[in-house]
Amino acid sequence: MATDHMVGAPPLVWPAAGPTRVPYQVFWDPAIHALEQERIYRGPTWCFLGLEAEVAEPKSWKATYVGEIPVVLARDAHGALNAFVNRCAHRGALVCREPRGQSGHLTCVYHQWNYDLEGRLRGVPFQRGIGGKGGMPEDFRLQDHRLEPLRVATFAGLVFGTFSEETEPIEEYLGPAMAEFVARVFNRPVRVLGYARQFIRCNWKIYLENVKDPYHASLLHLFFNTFGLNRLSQVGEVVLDARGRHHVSYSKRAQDDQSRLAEVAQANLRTYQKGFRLADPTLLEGPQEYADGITMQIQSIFPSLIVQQIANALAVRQILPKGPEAMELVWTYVAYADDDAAMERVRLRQANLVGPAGYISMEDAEAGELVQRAVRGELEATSFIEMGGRGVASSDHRVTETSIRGFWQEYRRLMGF
Amino acid sequence: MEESLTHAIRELEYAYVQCIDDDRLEEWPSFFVQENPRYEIISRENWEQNLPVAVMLCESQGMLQDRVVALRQANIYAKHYYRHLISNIRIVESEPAQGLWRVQANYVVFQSLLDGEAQIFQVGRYLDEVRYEGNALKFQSKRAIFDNARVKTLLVTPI
Repeated sequence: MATDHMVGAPPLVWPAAGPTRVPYQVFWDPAIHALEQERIYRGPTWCFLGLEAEVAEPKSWKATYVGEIPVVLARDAHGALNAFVNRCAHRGALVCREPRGQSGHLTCVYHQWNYDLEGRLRGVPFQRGIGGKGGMPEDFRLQDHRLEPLRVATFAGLVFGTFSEETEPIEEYLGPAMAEFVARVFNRPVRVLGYARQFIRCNWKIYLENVKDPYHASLLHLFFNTFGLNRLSQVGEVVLDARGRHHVSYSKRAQDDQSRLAEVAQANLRTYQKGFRLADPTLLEGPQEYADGITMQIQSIFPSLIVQQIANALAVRQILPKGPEAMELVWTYVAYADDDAAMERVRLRQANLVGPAGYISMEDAEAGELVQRAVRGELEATSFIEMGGRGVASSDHRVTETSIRGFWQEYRRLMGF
Repeated sequence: MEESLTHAIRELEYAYVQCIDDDRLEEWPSFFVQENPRYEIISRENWEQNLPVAVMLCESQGMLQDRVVALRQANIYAKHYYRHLISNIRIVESEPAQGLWRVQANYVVFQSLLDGEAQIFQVGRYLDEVRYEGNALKFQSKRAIFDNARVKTLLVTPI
């Protein structure tokens, strides 16, 4: 289906080959970007807003975004979680100007319109004018104006918001398989260890493709192989939800499969270097925390959340588009609330693996920018996404792009492409 | 004595950033003491909230060396140059009994990429602990606290 365009580029026609071909136009076209705000971020999706641990106290709040829409997540005086658009009902100014805070109400600095933590307008200066002059019209009522609300849902300590009345309950949205993986990492209360913010000059979907792509892991991220910490022989799987929009890719410590190891060595990958060893391997030391033996879980929840367990490094990543050709990735690192000091130190050390300077994550930003630079302005060409076949289904190995195809399948459905 | 110590600390700070800007990163670990050195790049956002996560953390000579080997041999990133400007170098605390001085300095790091453009990559301050190891002044710990919390693309070269 073609789509009305406001700017420049001709309408998008999706190739007949479906989710194995993605027109590069979706990565830079401002009209498509604007449409995504309406159909995806204001559409029937649950977007990640934060952790309950970030707004643990009554009257605490944090400012974030859903897509490009500024949003506040607040816990009101009664302990209930609310979310609303961070834009004054008067003339559109940001109401919360700081990333987080604690206060019983929120006041827009522009004209001091005052809101409670449910987003309701409580007061307007000079409502009746001064000395009988000016003021709001007779029919002005505070209750007719408020900060636009979102519906809020929580799952395992994660808080999500949606603008749409049609979005199914969060458990249904996640589906049983995805819910289980989220709950496996968030199996008990967490506390925040810190944040990292990474500004990447690529379209948000290029980054999400990268997250959903286990094929690149051992080819782009050479850290483990360079230091002889080979992981290619680990067993792993890719699991999709019923619709293919979310995914999880995980691996377990080998069970060393000798034949697979030999295959990898034979392929003579540039990644298969020899001779380097970590001078201080305590960087990687840490307990096996989970009975299931999973050492790495990367999970994407459509469209904005990534849940990560890499050894003992636990984090969520939130994808925030910043125009069609840039994005911010917000990393929130967590520990379990009951971690002792030694365990916290393990997590802080292993944080070196991930984040903007992460030994096995920094390259993702580089790859995203390489794609963006090469596709900018392209109207004809498409990508080719057939590793592991052409279908959208869970896979008992990770040499596949099935979860990327799943993403595009859902994207097309929502966008009407 | 005071004068020469101040001079020596300034020299240490200048030599440290020059080592990085000259891309002599193999020498970078030698600016730190042998025993229990600590190096950390942490956002001001985390620092001021007492949130301990650093973007980069090294807790030993080995971890410092591993960063350099990884950067040379393993990590993939766009070629770039750093240029550090450093100012306001001050001893903020002296513990002569332990032979330890706490030093603060402001820094700006410009990053130039191969497209020919320079950008401000990081703005912040160092909070360092320096001590003599033999005749040489070294960092017991070095903490780069950056104000501009958003890391542009990625961070691979130490600050």
